[in-house]
Amino acid sequence: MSYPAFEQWRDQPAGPVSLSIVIPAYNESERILPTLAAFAVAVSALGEPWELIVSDDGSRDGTADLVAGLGWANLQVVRHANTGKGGAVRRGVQAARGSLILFADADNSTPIEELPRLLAAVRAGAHVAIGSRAAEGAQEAGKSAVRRLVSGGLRRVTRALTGVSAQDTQCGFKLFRGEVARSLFRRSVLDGFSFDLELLYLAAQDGLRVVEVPVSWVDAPDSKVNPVRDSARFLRDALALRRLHARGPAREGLHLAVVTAYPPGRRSLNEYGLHLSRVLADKPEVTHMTILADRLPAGQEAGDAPNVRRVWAFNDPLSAVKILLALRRAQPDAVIFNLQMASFGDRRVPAALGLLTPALARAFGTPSVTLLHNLFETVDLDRAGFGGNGVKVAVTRSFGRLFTRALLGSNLVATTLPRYVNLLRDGYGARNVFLAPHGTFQLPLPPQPFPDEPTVMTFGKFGTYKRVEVLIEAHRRLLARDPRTRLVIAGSDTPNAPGYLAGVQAQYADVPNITFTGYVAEEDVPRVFSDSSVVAFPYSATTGSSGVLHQAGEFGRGAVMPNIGDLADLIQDEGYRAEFFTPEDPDSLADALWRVLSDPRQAAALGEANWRVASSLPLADIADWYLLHIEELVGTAAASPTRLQEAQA
Amino acid sequence: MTRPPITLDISVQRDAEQCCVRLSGRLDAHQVPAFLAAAEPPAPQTVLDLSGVTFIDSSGLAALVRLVRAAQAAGQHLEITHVQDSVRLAMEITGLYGALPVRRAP
Repeated sequence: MSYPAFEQWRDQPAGPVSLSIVIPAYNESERILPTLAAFAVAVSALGEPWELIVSDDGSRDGTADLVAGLGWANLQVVRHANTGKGGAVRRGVQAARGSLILFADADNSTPIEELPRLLAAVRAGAHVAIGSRAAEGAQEAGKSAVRRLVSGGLRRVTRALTGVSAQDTQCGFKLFRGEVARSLFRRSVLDGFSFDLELLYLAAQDGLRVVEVPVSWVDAPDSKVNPVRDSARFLRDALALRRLHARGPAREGLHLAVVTAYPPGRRSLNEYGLHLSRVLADKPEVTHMTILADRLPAGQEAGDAPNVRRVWAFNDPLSAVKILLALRRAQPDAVIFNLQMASFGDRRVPAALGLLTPALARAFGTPSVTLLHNLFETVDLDRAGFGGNGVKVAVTRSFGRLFTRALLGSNLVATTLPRYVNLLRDGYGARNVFLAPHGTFQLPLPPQPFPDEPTVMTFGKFGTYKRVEVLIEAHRRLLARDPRTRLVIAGSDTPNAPGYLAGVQAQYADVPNITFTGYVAEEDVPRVFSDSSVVAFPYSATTGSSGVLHQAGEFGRGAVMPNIGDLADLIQDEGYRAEFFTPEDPDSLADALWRVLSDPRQAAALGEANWRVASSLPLADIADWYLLHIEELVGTAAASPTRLQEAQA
Repeated sequence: MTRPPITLDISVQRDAEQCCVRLSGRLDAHQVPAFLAAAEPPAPQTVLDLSGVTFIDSSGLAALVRLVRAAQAAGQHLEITHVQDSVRLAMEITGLYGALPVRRAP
């Protein structure tokens, strides 16, 4: 019977204690009492002197008074203004007297009954025993394939970056030898989300024995796990940590080249290339950036920055040679190719020859990373404008496989969607593929208010799988419901369908309230999005992670889209929100648009959700993913994991 | 301490007069919907047997309160039995132990 043991613990102050348990708490008045009850009964039953410390992190709901009011002899409340979980744990550890110190979550998400397994690990010689939701034998409900994929890649990178080999660094159930906890927390500085990682980082630097113990674990009911976003945040913190604690100076002097279409040219991925090079150039590790861009008419090249070299051209069969020569001249440490299958041309020979460049660059001694925005397998060739008769499509497909293989000849291939990583791994046996989400170009400003008139906007390059006829038909139906409704078609023809929009404009000249903006220059993009109530995606197919959806998020706008292909993935994996319609069905599209236009709260809710996702995944953070991989590639990773391995050996 | 389950097993025996709900595992916010679905509507005589419950959280306690009040309102009899120490303590410090119809251990 454990209740008498609890009563004794409750009533009689212990002298020296062998175990201190620290529970950080922020606004936990509704959840913490049952957890304290479970801890008090279960730990008292172990028969060792122990103390319980609740470290209140500036709760505004009376948590500290509620807990202090229990009046238990061996329960201490540490009070402090709000700093974040890491700070709360640190203050709890500083107050702890135990020769062992555990910290655990206020919701008992790892059941306290798992404690003896950690105690056994420390008594068997570990300096630190950490609960692990990833180690073999852990019980965890509902972990998706995406999450496994992302966390698998993360683990490798984390290890290279920080020397931390633990599979699960974030589980809130960790047991330390007392002197170890005090030493680590004396040096740690992070107060927020990634304080666990910092402790493990310092432990690895000290060469301590860290043992992972599989534990069961229950997700807090209100915690929403978003694999891609959480990984991004984690990696950013890992990199920040290394910059913070690195013993030598951080690696500097990295010279990167980016091969991309580039503004003011208007070829596909030009804006992505611009922003990716910009955020990479801003990193402290990167001292020089060379942009190998597409040729433009002479007048347009005049305004280029000095590090932009216009060396290759759309549909030029010699583009590969010209890029290789430019690389030989520039001598970068590594080169990033920002590509989709048709980047080098819409004629098969130059398009295909261009795709050989990354493998050739590698062969000639420049480590190459290819960011591949779409895959042949996921592109509907007909709709994307590569169509023709069935034989031609079949030939293109088999060449597609061939050139995907050629691209996999890069040292590394990045794709923007987890499903693509799987496709390349399963379909091609590729092992050099990693996930690098699309990201948001700018850290978004707070969204602008919605326009007074209901305004539907669609954005892109139109004419193949993005066509506006169905959208205009839906617009007709919306006009019947609200004659003020406006439709803005922002963008130009794709290179594969010249004249498309002009044809549409003539065909629908009788439909009122439609604006064709033509090509939208970079500086006009914010206004086009902010002047809309909702962004429509009249797509019949998808070709990669949607830049437009990321921009809708950046400007706090909701989306109306078919629930297909890569759009569906973004909803699933990154947390974007949308109203859905049946592809090619104007009635269904009109209904979906109306659900947003007729309800300002729905428009605001979708917009805010998308804005949050966009805010949490800026391209500047994704750039760190590239840097990590590139540093590994060129052999300059700073912190060495060997000490930990030696300690564990 | 043995390793606790992180789910809840629910077994229900019910006829026109009586309902016995046996719970085993963790009665937390994730499990409350299934628990309420099994326990509602209360019978004229209802027993909630918590002998296997290792942990109850605030949502679990709130679900018990809801069932007890519904039974009281309907003039039915409901009893909670076999409460483990940690669950008992959770009820005590939240002020529910005296308010809930818990059969005291002999």
